[in-house]
Formats: sequence, C-alpha cells, structure tokens
Amino acid sequence: MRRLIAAGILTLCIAVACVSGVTYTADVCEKLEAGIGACTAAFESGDTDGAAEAAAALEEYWVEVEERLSVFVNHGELDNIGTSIAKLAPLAAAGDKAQYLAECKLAKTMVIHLRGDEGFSWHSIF
Amino acid sequence: MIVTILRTTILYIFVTLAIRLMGKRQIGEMQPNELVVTLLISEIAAIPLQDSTQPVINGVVAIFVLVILEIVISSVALKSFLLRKFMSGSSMVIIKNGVLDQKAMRRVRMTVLDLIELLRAKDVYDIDQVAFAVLEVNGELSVLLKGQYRTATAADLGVTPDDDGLPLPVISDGKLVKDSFDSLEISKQAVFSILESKHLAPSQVFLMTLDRYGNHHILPKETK
Repeated sequence: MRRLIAAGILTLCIAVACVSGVTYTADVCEKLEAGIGACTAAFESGDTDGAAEAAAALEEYWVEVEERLSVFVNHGELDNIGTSIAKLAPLAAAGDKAQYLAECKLAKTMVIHLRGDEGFSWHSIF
Repeated sequence: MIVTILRTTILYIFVTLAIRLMGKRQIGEMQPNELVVTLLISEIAAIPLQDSTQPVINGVVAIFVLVILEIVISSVALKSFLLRKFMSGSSMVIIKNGVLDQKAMRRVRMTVLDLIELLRAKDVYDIDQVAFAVLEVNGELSVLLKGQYRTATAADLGVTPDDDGLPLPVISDGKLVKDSFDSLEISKQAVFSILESKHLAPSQVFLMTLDRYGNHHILPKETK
C-alpha cells in the first residue's frame, strides 16, 4: 500500500513537471516567434535601427528564459537557437539584409522545431 | 568535470531511490518484467551521464515512470492470476515422479545438458535421484529428491530437538541495533547484563548476536 501511495505521489510530481515544462516551453516559443517576427518586419520595412533594437530585445529575453528552459530542453538545441539570435543584432547593425533575414528564418524554424519536439505529437513519439 | 560529478551524484541518488521503491525483489531473484525494468533503468541513467546536453530531468522522469509502472503492475498482479501469468509466465515441471518430461523441456527450450548443469548447481549429480524438478519463472530449478536420497531430518529419526531462536545482531560495530530489540522483545538492560558478566562495554563489541532464549555470541573489537 505504501508503494502504491509513493507511486501515486510520483505520478503527480511527474504530471506537474511535464505540464509546467510543456506550458513554459510553449509560452517561451510563442514569445520568441513573435520577437523574431518583429525583427523580420522591422528590417523588411527598412528600419535597420528598429531591427537592431528588436534583435537586442530578443537576445535579452532569450538570456532571461534560457536557464529555466535548459531544465526541460536539450542544451544543444538551446545553444543553436542562442547562437542564431546572438547573430541578429550585429547583422542588423551591419545592414546585411540577406544574412539577417536568413538567421531570423533559421531561428524561427528551430523554435518551431523545439515546440514540436517538446509538445505532444505522434511525430515526436515515434 | 564538475557538471559530470554533480549529474552522476544526482542520478545515483535517484536510481537508488527507484530501486528501493520497487522493493527487495529487484535485488534478489528477478521475474522477467523486473529484469526488464532494471536493465532499462541502468540504460536510461547512463544517457544523461554520457551526454551533458541532455537535461537530467529527462532521465529522472523516465526512471520514475518505469518505477510507477512496475509498482502498479506488480500490485495488480498480486490480485490477478492472469496478469501474473502474462507478465511472469508459469513454472514448468520438468521431472515428474522420476520421469523426464521431454515435451516440457522442448517447450522451455532446455537441453538435457542444461538440466544436468542446473541439477549439479543443486548438488544433485544423479538424475535418477530426482523425484520432481520444477523450472521456476526466474530460471531456477527447484528439486525434490526421492525419499531414499533425501537428507534425514530429526522427524525421520524420531528425535525432537530443542527449537532454536533466531539470532539477531543486537550490537553492530559498537552500536545498539534498535530493530533487533523490538523483534526479540528484550530490553537493553538484558544485553548490558550479559556484557557486564563478560566485563565488556557496548563500545568494545564488534558484533553481538542474541536469540529469544538468551543464547548469545560476542565478538569483541580488535585492539590496535
């Protein structure tokens, strides 16, 4: 009976950990996608200063959330996203549109991939 | 390096906790499903140790899911004969009334040389001495010898020996073992009286065993 109770408590703890992990990851991914979208929109409208500011804000947000995300997510994936985001501000400052937009696209793809991997989907199970 | 040390320590604690939660059977003779769980736990625990990019929580969650499954299934199997049979299989009688069941041996994919090896492990060197041999689900062979080959017991000789109590350690490495006092239903004073008669203090004793009839054995600590 004691073991069943322990199993019940463990189940609850795992459920809480999973739900909080998935919810937090989804929330962060949504904000990252929005941030990347803002970066892309700024540069496409010709506002390189705005694009640089948006990239800097995105990087700041990433630094805030990365540590907590690393509890749930593969660190290699996080490093890749972080590297991509870190390139945006210098590229915006240099005015390199093609490379800037390519990095935005890459970062967005990795964020979408991350959300798909961490969330529930048949693809991630099999 | 420090990360590896910390991860190893964390996983060691969690794996130990997992094995303790699953119970003593995991450490002793294992049923097939228990063997699977133990193997899986060791493999899963190794992944975050070897790959520092993997979050530790992934390994811990996977280990505890296995523990939960094992506890729930084994609890249900206590009540359900069908589930128990499905998970663990059933024993097979290989030798019945001294006759080898070759069909049963084929069913368990056992050769006669395997059988003789298992019999030797039970100190049986002549298959003719065996009345019954049962292959258990954990691979062990249980053997019942024919009457004339069994070791004589006190009952066979018509003798009634005195019952022995179960000796339990009451002092281990100078410290009192509280659980043993509860099991033996004796007081610490009784132990101290015995030690006083031997001019020993508890701290000078490496091992002291005692049974409910007062039979004791004392091993003093070596003096350096």
